[in-house]
Amino acid sequence: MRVSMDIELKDEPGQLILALDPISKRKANLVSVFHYHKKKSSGSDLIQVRLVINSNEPTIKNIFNDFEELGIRVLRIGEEKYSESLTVLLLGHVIHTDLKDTIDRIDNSGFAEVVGMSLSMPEISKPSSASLEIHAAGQKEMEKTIEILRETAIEKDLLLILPIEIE
Amino acid sequence: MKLIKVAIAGFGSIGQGVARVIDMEQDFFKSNSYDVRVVAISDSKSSIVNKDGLDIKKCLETKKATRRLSDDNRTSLEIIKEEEFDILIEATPTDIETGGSGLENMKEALKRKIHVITSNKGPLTVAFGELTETAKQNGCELKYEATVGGAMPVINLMREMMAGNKINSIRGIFNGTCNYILTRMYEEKSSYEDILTEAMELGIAETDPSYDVDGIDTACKVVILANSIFGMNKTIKDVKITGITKITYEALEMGAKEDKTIKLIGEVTREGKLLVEPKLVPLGHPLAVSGTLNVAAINTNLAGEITVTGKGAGSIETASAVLSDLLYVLKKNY
Repeated sequence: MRVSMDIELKDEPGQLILALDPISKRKANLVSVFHYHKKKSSGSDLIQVRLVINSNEPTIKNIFNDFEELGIRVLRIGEEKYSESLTVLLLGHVIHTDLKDTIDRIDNSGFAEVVGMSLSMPEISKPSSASLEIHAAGQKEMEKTIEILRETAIEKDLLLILPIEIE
Repeated sequence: MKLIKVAIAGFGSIGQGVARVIDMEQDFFKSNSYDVRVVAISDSKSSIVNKDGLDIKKCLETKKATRRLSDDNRTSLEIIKEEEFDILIEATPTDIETGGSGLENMKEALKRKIHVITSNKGPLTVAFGELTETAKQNGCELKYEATVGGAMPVINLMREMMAGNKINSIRGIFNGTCNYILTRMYEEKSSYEDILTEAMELGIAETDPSYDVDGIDTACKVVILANSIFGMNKTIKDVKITGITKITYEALEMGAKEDKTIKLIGEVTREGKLLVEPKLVPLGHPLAVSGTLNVAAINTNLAGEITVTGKGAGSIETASAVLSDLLYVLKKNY
């Protein structure tokens, strides 16, 4: 599982290394560290840091306990549902072929969601262009989502344009 | 000095460019101890032969003035069957359905142990295996650098310079007309139809542009790369093809908001995937070249990714690829 954890650290050298030590010892995979330099907690010498960690549930709990023992306050902990994101274009009669249905096919998959969309309709009878921002649980789930999009594009005679990184 | 007799089949834009380049490079040939003479030229209506070598400038003038080469009505195939020469430069119009007269010309030349250099994609798309086998059986060279990417060195680069590397995949922009249209649509905030008209007026697109814009030309090049680099036996039917006719300015604008552009990408992988489709390419990516440029990114096991770019079409540009093949044939065989 992938979780994000917001913790509170003293704004002084060596504090981040102190916080990363339990993650390293527990052999969890640290995905990202985001330092909110401007986001000071109520105590003026404390800053917030967001850690994204990949590991199993017991290890995450152990890391949480380690932080408490070290006096590091955990402000928030939550499972990150999606780790992959992608923007694709759909061209053609995107509206007339039921755009809601196209989006539902992704949202109803259970492993991906359309989280952003922009649409351009030059004229009612002319083809439209839609840009869809999609989040998926992982790489395999994103591949499945692309397959759903490919099938939908064929069925609705739409042109799907994928980023060059996608095989 | 070694005397090398060359025949040119097809005297349109490419054939004329090749003749000009051979005429221009006479000093270069002589400095390498080759006396290269064009002894026969044929087009769709006529032909001209001079066993001692033709006056290229005169041939070009005659063709321009009369649309013929002479009163000799023999076809390219008859010239190949009846005349004596060492190397055929095959530049007749391409036919991707049957290979057309170009295929017959190449087969006949190879059977007569004449080396063949071509810019004609059709015969290679239709009968690559047959042609390479015929060349091998007759101890002849079959060279076709000009069929993919015009002046851009792709095939010889991979087969000669990068020998030893395992090629994993090749992808790129292999059609300058499509690249021009997509580039100009965004620059001019114009529709596909308007820019296609502009491209036709400039001579960048053919009167019937479907061969380019439907992705067929790119697919032919993907097939040639698959067969020549990966040793496959593919035809155009094995390529999943999507062209650029549905691309709108609005789509290009949406891509730009993501710092991306849309390009028609041809791709072939070692695993046998042959694909032509528009893709979103990040601005600044090596494949995001503009205008009529072509580009190829070659993914290898040792050298990583190597990208080459260059002019994909044009009479003299394509002739430069033919010239590199001609020099290869000369150095290897004479």
